[in-house]
Amino acid sequence: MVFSSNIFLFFFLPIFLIAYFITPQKFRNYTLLLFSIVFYAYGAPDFVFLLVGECVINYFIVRAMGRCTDGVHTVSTKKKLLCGLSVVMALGLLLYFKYANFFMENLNTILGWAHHEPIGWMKVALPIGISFFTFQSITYTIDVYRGTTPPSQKLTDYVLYIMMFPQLIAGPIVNYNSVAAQLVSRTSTMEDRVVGFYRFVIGLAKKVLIANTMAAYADQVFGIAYGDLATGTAWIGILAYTFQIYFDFSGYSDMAIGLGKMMGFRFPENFNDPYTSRSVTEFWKRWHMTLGNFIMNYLYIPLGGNRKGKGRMYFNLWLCFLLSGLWHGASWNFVLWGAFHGLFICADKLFLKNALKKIGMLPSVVITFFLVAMGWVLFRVDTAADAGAFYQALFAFKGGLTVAGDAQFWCIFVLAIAFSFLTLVPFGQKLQDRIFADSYSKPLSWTMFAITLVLFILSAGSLCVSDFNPFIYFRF
Amino acid sequence: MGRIKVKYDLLLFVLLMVILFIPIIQEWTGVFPVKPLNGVFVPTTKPELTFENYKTNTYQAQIDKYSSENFGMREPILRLYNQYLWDVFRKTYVSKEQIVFGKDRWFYEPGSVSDHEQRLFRYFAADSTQMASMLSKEAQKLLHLQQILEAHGVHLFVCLVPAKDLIYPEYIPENHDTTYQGTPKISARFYNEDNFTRLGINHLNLEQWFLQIKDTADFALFPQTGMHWSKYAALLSADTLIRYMEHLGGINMKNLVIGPREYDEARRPDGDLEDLLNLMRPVRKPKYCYADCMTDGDPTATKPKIIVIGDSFWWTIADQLPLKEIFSRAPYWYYNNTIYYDDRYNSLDELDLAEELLSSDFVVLSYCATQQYRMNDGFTQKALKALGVKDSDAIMDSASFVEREIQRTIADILASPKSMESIREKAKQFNKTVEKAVRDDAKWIVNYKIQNGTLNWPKHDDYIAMDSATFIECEIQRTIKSLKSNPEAMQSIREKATKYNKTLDKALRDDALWVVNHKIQQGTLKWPVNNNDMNPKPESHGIQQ
Repeated sequence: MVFSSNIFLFFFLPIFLIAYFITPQKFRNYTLLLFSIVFYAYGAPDFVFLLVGECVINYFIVRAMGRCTDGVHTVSTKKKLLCGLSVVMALGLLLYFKYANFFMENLNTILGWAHHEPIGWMKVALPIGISFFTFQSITYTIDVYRGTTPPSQKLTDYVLYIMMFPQLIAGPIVNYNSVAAQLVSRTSTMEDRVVGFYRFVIGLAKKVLIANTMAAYADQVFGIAYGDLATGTAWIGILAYTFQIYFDFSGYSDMAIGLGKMMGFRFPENFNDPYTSRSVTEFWKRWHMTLGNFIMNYLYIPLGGNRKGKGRMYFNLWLCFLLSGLWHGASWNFVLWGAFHGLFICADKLFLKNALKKIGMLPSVVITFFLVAMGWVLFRVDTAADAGAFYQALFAFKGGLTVAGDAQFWCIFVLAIAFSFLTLVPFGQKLQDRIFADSYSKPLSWTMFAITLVLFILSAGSLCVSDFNPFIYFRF
Repeated sequence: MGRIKVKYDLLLFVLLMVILFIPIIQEWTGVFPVKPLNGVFVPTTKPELTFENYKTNTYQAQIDKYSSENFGMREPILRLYNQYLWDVFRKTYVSKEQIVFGKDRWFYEPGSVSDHEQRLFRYFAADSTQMASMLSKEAQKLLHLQQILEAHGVHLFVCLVPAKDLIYPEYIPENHDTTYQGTPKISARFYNEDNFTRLGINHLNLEQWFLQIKDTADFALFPQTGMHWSKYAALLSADTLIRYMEHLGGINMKNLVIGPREYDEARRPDGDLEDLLNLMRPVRKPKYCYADCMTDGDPTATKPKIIVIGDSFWWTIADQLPLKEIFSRAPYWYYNNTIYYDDRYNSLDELDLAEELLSSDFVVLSYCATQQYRMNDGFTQKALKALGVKDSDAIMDSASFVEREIQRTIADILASPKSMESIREKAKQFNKTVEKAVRDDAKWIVNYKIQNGTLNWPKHDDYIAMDSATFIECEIQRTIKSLKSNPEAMQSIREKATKYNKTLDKALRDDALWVVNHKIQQGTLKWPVNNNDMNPKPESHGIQQ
């Protein structure tokens, strides 16, 4: 089940909210857990037991690990073993379900080169949300291992942390220590509920009204043989995709954050106007921030960070981005995408960031946006050869097949540009701060209420209109 | 202040929850009256929850679709969204296959526009020759059916209903979807009109009449946002149709009395294309003209029995006319598939087609120009079969028949070395190509057979009872009679007789022979019908007074 579906908006959500709010405070976690299991079981019946089982086992492993006594300057071996076991279990599942197919395909390719028979294997289905809940599970283990937070006292609280439906499928990746206290005790004021709902609807509108419109155009462009594409259309296509991915992902994060807020959770922000970044390094501080934090805290720093010399730092950075790319999808184009960003992160450290700083805000934003958009080509296409062909279309400056966008596309395209770069001007920043505030004045709240209502109806209408295509009469 | 704020937030929260719950309440109770969505669509059935369905995710996929089609308040939400799309972007999710959006908010049916641009031989676009031959064949069958029915006093005629694109081409968009581009530059509508005229099939071309009155009419002949003729134009067409029946059947029918005009927003089906958009409010356009329709109640008028086979245009007439006052019965065989306006039968399969046709006074084939490719939905074939024509596919016009005979004779000549030797000599002698000489010889042989009555006419079952010579002689005598009654023709024949030193009788016969031969060559000679079937029809089948 996805948030941007009628069954979620008109059945699951209202029934959940009413059930949740009429449940006495101390039992609300059970209601939320029950609905979260239903939510997951609806979309992934084959994997719900796997997920619950993994949660239960990990809970007891980490609990046992929490009972281990450390020396003054040493960590007990048992604790290390248990921590390793927990991480290996989480990563093992991820590697198996997400990367087994990729691994076997590549292995068979190599065997093919060596004129060996390919190894037969059954394709492994991917459990939805595995990339997110694996990382959340790791943050829990590591946080407890590091002593940042004690282990959860209740199994249900821990399972809830992993399976909470607002952030189960697509994040944000919530560190255990940031919500541990909220899992045990939290309050949601009436204002939180109202503001949370506004945030949810804004996210829904970003996804349905903007991202889907951009996607329809981008899909058409990327559906044409890249060699036949006119340069102008290729550019509009990649820009449409650039906005699609931002409004899609940030919209989903908004929905998750909004739903969390309605229940009294404070989920971390995941996006902070990434396209206004002045360098690729800054972009990664604004794009999918919870993933960036995870990579920083649970991969880059354990690898040594910048503490082991410059050479090692560049290697660590590049490796982090390679792995980050692979985390996004089990395919070489994602690895390339990660390498591409890793390359510019290293370049930033070497000279690029300073150079961009010197040329002024607008040029640096434009250059960074250009680099990011070029990166999205790798993210969108299937193979390196496709990427090459698309880059050629972008820079061949030739005519060819075009995709004519309609008035709706162009209007939304302009809106997407405006919303993406709004905060470059002080007025835009002020406006955004007011819209995404935690508290509203009375007139602003009514305005937001009206806007929310309109956006909700338009989003719902958009969701059902694509399925509705009647005939005037039946003909024989 | 703090407490007021909390109360205020509580109010907003409750409001939001109520709004979120309205669809569920509506779905369970249907408490709010909502305008249903227009258009025909296949609803998704509610899936059955089984473990297998659930495990394979098929239940989830189906219930998603089902709930998307059935959640409460879907209709107003969809209309609101459509209105937003229409007002802001002039966009609609109705597919291009359903509506062409023309200039100044004029809507067209796409098939009609493509047909107008003569790009459409629907379903046969890839092979225009095949379609042309099928239409030609259909016309020949129709002519045969008309003759058979005429022999029983039943009048068959085709009503060529106008299409919007032909009457109002000025609003067709410059660059509409060009899906059909590259297909043959011929349209079934024009092809049929030619065939009907050439073969003498009774037909009433309302398109021409519409074009004549278009500029002077102070009412819309076609509604701006509908695909069918306007209700008022349909009423006037019905009046013309009745006049045509009176002329064809030589009868007097009740006159239509059309009431005073009133102007109003579109009434169904005048906005049928617009209805499909499912908007909150109507598209901006002038008001349409409407009027009530009665008859003059003439007690001496004839109330014929008619059968109408046709497309949806007839609805607009049938819904407005006092059918029972004008006709003894007027069943409507919609696309020759479903019966309407007939209490006797529920389905076409129940009735005896021959009995039904022969007991009628008029058989009307009423198809819109854009539906001409449908070839009457198989009615002609079915009717011929019901009337005893065993192989209606064998029906052909005289020109096609003569050509077939010529080809057969050519084949015989080519197979005979002796004949070929003689023809080669003739070709040399008259300075012709061998091919031309062969064809000329074959043509001479066929003509000789026709004149001598030794040619076997195509076997249209038992409907042809004369040999070719007798038939030709009959035709010649009929033509002589016709020429004699024409003073201008007689004057011309007299001049020819003097000029060529012939007797008047010889000149008259030669002229008649030429006319008959010409008809044979053109394929417009009507085949003879079996004498047995020319008997007057039984009294019970007569027109009711």
